[in-house]
Amino acid sequence: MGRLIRILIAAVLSAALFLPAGCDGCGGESRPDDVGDIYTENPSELSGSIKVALPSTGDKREIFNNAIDEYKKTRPNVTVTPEWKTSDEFYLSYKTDISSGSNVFPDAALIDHVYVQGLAGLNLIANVTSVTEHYKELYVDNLIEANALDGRYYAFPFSANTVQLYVNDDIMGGVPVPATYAEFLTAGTAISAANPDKSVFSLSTGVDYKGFGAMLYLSWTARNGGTILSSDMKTALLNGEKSKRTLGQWKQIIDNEWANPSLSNEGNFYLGKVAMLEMGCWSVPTVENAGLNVSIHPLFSLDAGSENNNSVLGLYSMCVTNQSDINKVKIAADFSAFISAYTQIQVDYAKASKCLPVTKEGVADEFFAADKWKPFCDALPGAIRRPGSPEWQFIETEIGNMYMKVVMEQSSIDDAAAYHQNRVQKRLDEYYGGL
Amino acid sequence: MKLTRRNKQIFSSYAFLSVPIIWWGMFFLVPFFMALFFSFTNLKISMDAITKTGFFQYKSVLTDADFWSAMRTTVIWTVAMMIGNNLFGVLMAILLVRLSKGRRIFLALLFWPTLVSAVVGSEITKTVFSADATGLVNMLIGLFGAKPVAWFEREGYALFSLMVMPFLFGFSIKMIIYYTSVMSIPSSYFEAARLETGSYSKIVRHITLPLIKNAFVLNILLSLIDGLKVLGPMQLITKGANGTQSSILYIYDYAFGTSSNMGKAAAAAFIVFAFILLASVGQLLISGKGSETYE
Repeated sequence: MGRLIRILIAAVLSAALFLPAGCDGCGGESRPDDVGDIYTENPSELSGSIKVALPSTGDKREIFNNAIDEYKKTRPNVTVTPEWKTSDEFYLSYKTDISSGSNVFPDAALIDHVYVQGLAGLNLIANVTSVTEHYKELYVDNLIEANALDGRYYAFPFSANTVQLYVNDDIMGGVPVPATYAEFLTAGTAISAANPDKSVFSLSTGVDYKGFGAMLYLSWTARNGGTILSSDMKTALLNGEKSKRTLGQWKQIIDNEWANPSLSNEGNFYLGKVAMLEMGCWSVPTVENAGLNVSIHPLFSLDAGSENNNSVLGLYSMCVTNQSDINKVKIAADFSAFISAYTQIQVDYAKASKCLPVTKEGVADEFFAADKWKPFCDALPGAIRRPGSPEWQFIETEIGNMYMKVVMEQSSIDDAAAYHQNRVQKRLDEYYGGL
Repeated sequence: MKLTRRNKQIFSSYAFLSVPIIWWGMFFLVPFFMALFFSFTNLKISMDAITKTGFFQYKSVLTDADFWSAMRTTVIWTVAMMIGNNLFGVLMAILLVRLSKGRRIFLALLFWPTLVSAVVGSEITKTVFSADATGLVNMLIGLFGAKPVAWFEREGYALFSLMVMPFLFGFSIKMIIYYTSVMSIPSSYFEAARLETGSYSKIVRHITLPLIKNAFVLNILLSLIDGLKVLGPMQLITKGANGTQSSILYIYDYAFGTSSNMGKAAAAAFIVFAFILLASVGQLLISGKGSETYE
């Protein structure tokens, strides 16, 4: 035993002394900073093969297979091999693939837009501005900007979602749907008096809701006229006046006993026990199947005198791996642009994923022009993008923990905001600290 | 050159051993030294932008209040599980041995919780400690007129809520080890003891427990290692909020969070590794002396 320990200690110390000495800019051949102009004028001339990481759940596999068939009709010399992933959220596996240096990474992948800037900052995904320039006009305004860093674009928008106000008209009775926070307070008081056994609202509280809660928090703070992170993403603004106003409003809702502080009321909304719910478009089929008398409206504004009623933007984007084989980069960018701008693919995928198309033609489709979908589509151009901070996952958790402390009355608004501001800022400083 | 019989034996032993050693080397030793290497760098995601940082990451971990908070949580968890699992394990083993009928059925039933996966176990914990009035624990306290409690959202309650189920039901493996250890005590010891006293508790205290000391040493060591590397409940239920971040979750968050600060995660991993190594060696030195045998 003693000998084994001595051997281990010796090994650890030797490695500690020698390994770092050999590491200065190590890690193999570095990728080119910028792939330059990768737009292909005549795509039928493209030739080669690419691997694309795509989600395979539900009907999505069939939609992508059809998309690949459609793509090949005009690019006969290109082979696109889908690499099916079991979840839409395969950022981690993609990140591991492209950073492993093992040359097994996919050439393109569908990821949450919130990770695009982080990957771009690390030079792991390609600058596709030269291609987006030719497709930009096809997308709904605002979406392409979610994939921008320093004025350059690093991904193609593919599937979007927004949050709107679901209203149970039966519970509302004759109470008008609120358009401002003041109206919301008036409506809440009336609903509460008329329906003592029902809840007025739902906040994203509880252990399973903090991720979505952080998105809503961003929307509320934006509707209050603020934000949670500076535009260079290096400074946290959680203890800013507007962020604290959001905390105050959420606390007021809890103090009024209009929502549950420790558990989201979402499930109860679908059971007809809650009057209003801020929720994403993916719940439209749930509401329709529940047989409730529900209508969907724009979010109410929060900043007095302002009509700012921004939703938060959910967006999945196709990014292209930045690798040395420029031919693959060109094909991957061409394929990503094709499927992100092809209306039928967009509409089919949006229906299958209960989300929204990203093209102007797509959102004009008859299906998305229906009463229940239109408000979500209308909210797309003004939707607030989550900051593409490399620390988003941490920030999201901290926001969830911050508002839970306030609504659970474990901490005052000022203390909670200051505490979590410090934690996020420390993490950002660590990331951008230069080491 | 002709090999002697002994050399042939040695050669074939090494040949057989080489397979697991290569396997172990590939999947443990290589990552071990790679992680050690990374702990002296600023590796985030890409190997392209890596530079040496000396002991910066170690200093960063050791001066991070979150790390020490995570270590504190881990130690509390480890001590609680060590006590609970071993106490219930040895108690169940001794009671099972006394059963004359249905021993195997009870053994199987008590072993059952081990078969539940961590994810399912976490979902059960979530349901039992749900903040809703319909959560099992809230229903129980409701019988005494108490209001529902958001167990996972209150500092102090959150860790306790995570610990209850593993504390009560995490003894199965330990119980099997104690059971086999008790069963292996020669019956003549008990027969001789029964001539001296009719008190079963005295027999347990003076015969059974001392003779299963080796099982205690093993089980406590296993509890220590299991406890110090706990991750599942925190990651699956509270995501480390409200004082429930364990040291392994701290490492995981840095390594696989969106920012992927692998350098810091690797440094934290080696500090935790050193802590586990010291605790294990210390525990063996303290409790491993004077192992009991039947001779």
